Amino acid sequence: MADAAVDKRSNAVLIVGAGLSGMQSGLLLAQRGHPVYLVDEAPGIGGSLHLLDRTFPTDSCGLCISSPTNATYCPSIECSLHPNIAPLPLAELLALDGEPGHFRARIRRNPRYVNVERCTLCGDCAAVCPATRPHPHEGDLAPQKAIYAPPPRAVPNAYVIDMAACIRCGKCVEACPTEAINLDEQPTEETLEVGAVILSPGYAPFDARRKGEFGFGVLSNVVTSIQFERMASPPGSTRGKLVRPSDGKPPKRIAFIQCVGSRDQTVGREYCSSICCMYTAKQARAALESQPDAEITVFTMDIRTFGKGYERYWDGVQQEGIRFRRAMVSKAKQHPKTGHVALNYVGEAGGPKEEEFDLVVLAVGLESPQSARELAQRIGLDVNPYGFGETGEFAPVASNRSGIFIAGCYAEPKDIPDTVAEAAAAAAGAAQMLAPAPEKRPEAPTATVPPDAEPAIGVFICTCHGTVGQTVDVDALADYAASLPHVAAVGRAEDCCTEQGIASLSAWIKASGVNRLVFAGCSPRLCQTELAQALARAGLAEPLLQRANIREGCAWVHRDSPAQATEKAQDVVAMAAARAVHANPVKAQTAPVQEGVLVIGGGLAGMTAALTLANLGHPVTLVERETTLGGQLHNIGFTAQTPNPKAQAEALAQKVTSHERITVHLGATLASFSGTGGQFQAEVQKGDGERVPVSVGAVIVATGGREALVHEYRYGEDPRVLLQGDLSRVLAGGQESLAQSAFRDVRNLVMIQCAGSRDENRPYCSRICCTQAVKNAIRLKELKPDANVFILYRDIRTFGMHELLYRRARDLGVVFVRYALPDKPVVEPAADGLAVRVTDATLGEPVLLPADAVVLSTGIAPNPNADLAQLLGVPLDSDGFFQEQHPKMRPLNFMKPGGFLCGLAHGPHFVPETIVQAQGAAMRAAAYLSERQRRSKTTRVDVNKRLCSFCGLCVSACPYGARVMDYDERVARVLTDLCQGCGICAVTCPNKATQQYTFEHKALLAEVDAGALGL
Amino acid sequence: MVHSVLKTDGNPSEAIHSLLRRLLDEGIVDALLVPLRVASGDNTVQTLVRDARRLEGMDVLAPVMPVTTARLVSAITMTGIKERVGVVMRDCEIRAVVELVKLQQAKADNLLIIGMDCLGTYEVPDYADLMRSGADVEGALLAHAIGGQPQPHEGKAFRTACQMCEKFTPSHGDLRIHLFGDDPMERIHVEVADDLAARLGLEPAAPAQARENVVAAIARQRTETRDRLFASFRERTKDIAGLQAYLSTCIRCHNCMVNCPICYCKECIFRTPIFDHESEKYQMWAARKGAVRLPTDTLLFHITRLNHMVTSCVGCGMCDSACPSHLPIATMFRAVGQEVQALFDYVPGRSLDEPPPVATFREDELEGIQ
Repeated sequence: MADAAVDKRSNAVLIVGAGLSGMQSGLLLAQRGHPVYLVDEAPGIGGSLHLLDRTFPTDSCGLCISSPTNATYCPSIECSLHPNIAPLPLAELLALDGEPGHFRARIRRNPRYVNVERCTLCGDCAAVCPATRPHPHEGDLAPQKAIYAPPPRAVPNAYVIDMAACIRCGKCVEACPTEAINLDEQPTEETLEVGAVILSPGYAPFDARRKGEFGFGVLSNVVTSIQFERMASPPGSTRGKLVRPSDGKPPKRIAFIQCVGSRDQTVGREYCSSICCMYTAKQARAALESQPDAEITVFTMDIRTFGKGYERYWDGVQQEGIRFRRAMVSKAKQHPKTGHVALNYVGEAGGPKEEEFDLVVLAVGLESPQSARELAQRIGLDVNPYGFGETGEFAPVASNRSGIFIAGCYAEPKDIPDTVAEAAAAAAGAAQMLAPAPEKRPEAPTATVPPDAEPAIGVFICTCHGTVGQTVDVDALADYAASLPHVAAVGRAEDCCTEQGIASLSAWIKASGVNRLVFAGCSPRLCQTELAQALARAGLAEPLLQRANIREGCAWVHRDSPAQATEKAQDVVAMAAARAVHANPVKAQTAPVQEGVLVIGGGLAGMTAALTLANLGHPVTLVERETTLGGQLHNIGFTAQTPNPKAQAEALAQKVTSHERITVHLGATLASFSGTGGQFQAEVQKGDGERVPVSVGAVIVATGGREALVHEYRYGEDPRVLLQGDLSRVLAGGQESLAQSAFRDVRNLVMIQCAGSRDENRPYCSRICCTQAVKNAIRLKELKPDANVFILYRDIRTFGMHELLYRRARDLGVVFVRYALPDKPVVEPAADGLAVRVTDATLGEPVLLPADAVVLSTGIAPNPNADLAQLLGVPLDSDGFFQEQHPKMRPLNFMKPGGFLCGLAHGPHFVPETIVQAQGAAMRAAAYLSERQRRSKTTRVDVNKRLCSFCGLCVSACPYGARVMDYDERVARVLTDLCQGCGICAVTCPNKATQQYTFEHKALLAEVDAGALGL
Repeated sequence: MVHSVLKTDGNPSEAIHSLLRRLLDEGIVDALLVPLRVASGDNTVQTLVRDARRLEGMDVLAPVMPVTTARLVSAITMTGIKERVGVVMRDCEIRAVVELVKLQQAKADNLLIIGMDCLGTYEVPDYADLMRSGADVEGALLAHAIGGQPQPHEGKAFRTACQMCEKFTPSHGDLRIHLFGDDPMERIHVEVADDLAARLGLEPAAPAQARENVVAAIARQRTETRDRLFASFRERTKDIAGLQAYLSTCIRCHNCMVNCPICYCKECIFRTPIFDHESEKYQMWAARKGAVRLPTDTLLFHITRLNHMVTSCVGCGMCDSACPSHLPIATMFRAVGQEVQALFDYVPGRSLDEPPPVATFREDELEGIQ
């Protein structure tokens, strides 16, 4: 690590835009110990995540991502509670002076008009407010008052006034019981000293009014996808029910129109918005779930499901009976009486058609927000013609101004996994500009209660803003709780999920002197972080908390029988109190953490990850199987922006081999691997057979992939059938190499897309091949304008800005012919070369194309990864790529702590995507290692050796490989670092030799007994 | 496997015993685990014999099972053995060994399993009575081997578990001794692993033709008995009160657990301090429900044991034999086991390659269970 004392740079970072991207960047930098300013113009952090009902392809909730370690993972709450993150809502970056390491950021804080600390969210203000406006969060489908509460999980969660709608009548000021409202609040300005800046201002949805032919804004039953998303969402304006705006009836025939404001020259949006095909698939599925008899039709040009796992998701949705029409809709009109919307389109078989629907959903594209364009201008950033931040192919998160990084949809529209990766990459870039964070931050206070202290239980009832009290008699519950054995104090609040609630709870714990807490309130799956925070502040260890669910489990489900609900709430509290008697604080385990990182694979991904980590101060061991570094960069010929990637590979390799913190082993493999996150032991086997032991804290898998080979279309039989890679390498050399190649005299060249992919053998889409084909076609046309190029495709998937290449190829006269399974093209010998027979799926007629050469787009195949996967103890997915922890929120992590992945080992990617993943994986590894040094795990199980019969049921039952047989001691051990605390082993163990902390058998029996279930 | 025939010359017992002795004499095994007659002559006890001279009094045909040999195999092989040990077992014992191996409580390496057709067993006191009365207990049973149903001696009955046992021929074993289907007074058929046949000098011969039908007929009759017992159990235990009544005289001695070949925990949870209740709890329970049965936790004990063991229950019936209150525990285990095992398509003792259901997860299991 660099010497912090002499480093004059700032160690703080400014992040503009606190959506998913900004929050992810912020969390990683905060974990490294850097102070983070999280600025957003909205009243709270969270960005577009609040809009989402659910996310593809996991269909998990947009707000909370479940996993065993984080029962609910909510990035906004995490950010709000992290001591290193300062969220600055309602704020703008006015000006930025200085240079990397020494920026001065001028920030304006706009007034909220409501004091966050005082606001109790009672809603009295909104009740009296006479001014209404359309509800922007509900896509204007519902009205909202000028004083309003942000979405439920926004941070901070307090009312806010929209001054544009406010009439300054002052009624809210009078109504507010806590005097929280001040209509005269003024904006303030401040200057922040930061070392680096990350811009992640996100996207704005395309304004569908600009596509007048669809009638949005005029025809009531034409809605945007954002309005539909909110409609399908249980907390949304219609409580998850699909209704037609015109009459409130459930729509039966629903049409989705794709590419509204995307791939459209008429509105100046030539690019593809990348995510709409998948979000439409997700929404179609949601529609069918809420209304199984709905008939769904999707009007689309191409189906672009190019992300990892997306093709399968699409197949699944298709099988649920959704109809696709490859057609462009030209007009919509709504019948004034029936409310039905008639769509005019040109059918697949040609000829105009008209069809009626009950509801039409416009899949609007994404564009750069106006405020972000203005910001770019203010601080001197280059943007592309569409207003998106400009970056380079080999520096994909760096802006033109050093020290300023770009991530998320502001760079171009993208989905959540790509955003998460890019946020980490931007954090990596920023971290390299900052002075190192202080080595250690103060430990959170641990338990102060001695384990043998006489139980003094505090019962704290959270009424959840009075909602519990509407059913449950809270006074009776409090009296009953006070009468229970060992209960020393009973307290009450109504908002323990807010900052002030947490503060009041921790103050109450301290004041009442209790050493165990029963928290009676919402479901134990909610508010875990908040309660942990309250306990930590009060000096009470987490295991001393018991939760009693009196909200969902009592007040809500028994709304019609208050007496029984109260009785049940009493029982639930009694059970929790009985269990609390047996609660024990767990001592956190601490273990030394290795600073070093092992990077497996020395291609673009591996080299980038190694350099990033080394620049962040970590020693790196890089293992490459081949005798040179560079991997696929040597094979890809040229890319859209880089004529000679080989030179890039060599430059990168030079940096890697000369870096003082990187040790490179060429011609080497991994021979052994053991240990747990933070302390792995590995042996690297060099070419001469020598084994070098390596101790590292983390491992990054960057073993790459390769251009797939196929056994069809006469490939391997006829020398005139080649792969895109072959063509790309020839074209990279320009006229000279073309003249010496097999393509020298080519007059007719036929490219076949999806060769050997998107079929039963390789059911995934390789993401890059459409763009690769188009790129090669353009170059060939440039070098040999008289050559005819035909591209036979199923869907053209030139997503994002790649769409511009597709457009250029068409302009240059490249001919695109669509085929559809099961009718694959057939390559056959002809008199003077080859011929390709194909059924044009649009015309429905057979076509015979002459071909001097056929070039196959075969996509990317995984390397043979099985042995390495087994050695590392990490899984492969069903296609043979490495399987990440979570496809949405953790694309660069393995489930195994301390394990990370990037590049083609994860799945097919372009060059900039690979670099983003590599930088991101490096940042995640660095953040993991510094977090590990500061915190240790308390979720764990233990084995009573006297009781363990060594039967091994726990070992077979554990889904995480965290249980192992110790044959010397004859006991089934727990690998704590792998343990996720799911408790399956403890349940499986017949005599409870395995006990899970905080779920000890004695405590559970006491709880059951208190519930009056004793047999 | 090779089929072969032992000539018995009117003494089947001796023919089998001399074959077993040869195993030891030829060095095929280093030790034999076999029942030897006790000094009083009216019973047998399992003995691990390394010195062939100590095989005096061997009696593998005695229709009695004081302990299940599976528990002994577990004790002997728990951490593995270097010596080769031959063990004579009935099929219920063999199936229990298979389960124990899967649960890491026994090791099959170096174990030579010698499976015997089982003619049925008496409770230990009944067998002793018969022996003391001078009856030819073995001979009477062997007379049924050629055909018909093995009948218990007049005035006595087989153990309930044996009356409903439909798996009484060896399903595993390097050496399998077949009594059914031929006249044991003349010859006994054996099935033997190929290499073993050569070393024992056994010539291939045709299997007993009648065997299949004889075994099937006995199994049919046993199945009828079984279904009758199951029906009566299910009738009596339609609800929790019925089950409570079924087990009402349980004295919580844990003998059924101690004698069960599968119940393998080093220390049962019911014997740990978790079930040492604070004294005031009893008054509290009595107050809450008006009355509390003592000793407590009997129903919970049996349900827990069912929960843990029922997928692996091989139906040996040692729980019945061990119960001082004569509770029909084995009927309960087998009746519940029939349904639970079917649910997981699991047959305890069938194969070492089938993991116990509790150790596996299948997405499609337990369909139709509410």
